[in-house]
Amino acid sequence: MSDTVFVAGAYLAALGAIGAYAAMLVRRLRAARSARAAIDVRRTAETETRTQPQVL
Amino acid sequence: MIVLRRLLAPPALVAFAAVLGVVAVGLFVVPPDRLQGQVQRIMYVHVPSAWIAYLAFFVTFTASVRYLWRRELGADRLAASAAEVGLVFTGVAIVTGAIWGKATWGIWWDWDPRLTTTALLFVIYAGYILIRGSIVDRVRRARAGAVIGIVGFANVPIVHFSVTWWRSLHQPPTIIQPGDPTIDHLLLGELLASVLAYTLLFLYLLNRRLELERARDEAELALLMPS
Repeated sequence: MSDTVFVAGAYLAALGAIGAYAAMLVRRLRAARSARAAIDVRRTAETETRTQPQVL
Repeated sequence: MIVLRRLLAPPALVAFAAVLGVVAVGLFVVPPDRLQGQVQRIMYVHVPSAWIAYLAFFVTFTASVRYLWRRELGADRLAASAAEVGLVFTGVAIVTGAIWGKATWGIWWDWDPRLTTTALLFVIYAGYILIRGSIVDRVRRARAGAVIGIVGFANVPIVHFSVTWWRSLHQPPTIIQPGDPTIDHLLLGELLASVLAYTLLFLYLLNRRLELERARDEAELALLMPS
């Protein structure tokens, strides 16, 4: 293998791994925030259900 | 204070532009090494990755000490975030080192002291993340993480000095060593610029990871709160 292949391989591996990790972080952050928002929505719905007058 | 805060939380554009800039200079501007030729350019990604791993695990260590001392969950979040980013950079250092090794030594891997202790470092912090992930109780998770974050850091100086303490295939330290660095000043300039750029990238990733840890804690707390 030529030197260029080794250098290109090393840079692609490094930048690819770091870039993939950064993208994964952004996705995980979005998922965590929407999980939090979903909990809030469910909480509000539960509270409203309990506090609203119920018709028998 | 604002300047310091900006420096510690660089925007994505600044961090990625800095890294792409040093990559371009490292690949196309600085001359190749007299003995190794073009493959020496791997140094501009391998050495900064190893440096970031050391830095990240140092952050985990200090934040873990702070957690055990003050019991602040913020310190635990910082420790966990730095450990994960550090693990990624350790992996990058191992892979780029293996490619460099194949090009110069003719082998991808050798159970040499530097390589073995670095592999151990990877296993320690992968274990740190796995153990944290297996503990549901927030306080127990933080306490176990802090203990591993402190004990595990003992391996970092061993990794660094392994090349001077034992006979090693790996070259001895180039910059952090007694006396003037023996490396050519042009190459040294690009190496230091790369270290700086990757440090900016580390700070960016650390801040994003910290936000994630905070969001998870908030979600966990919201689940535990009586409605």
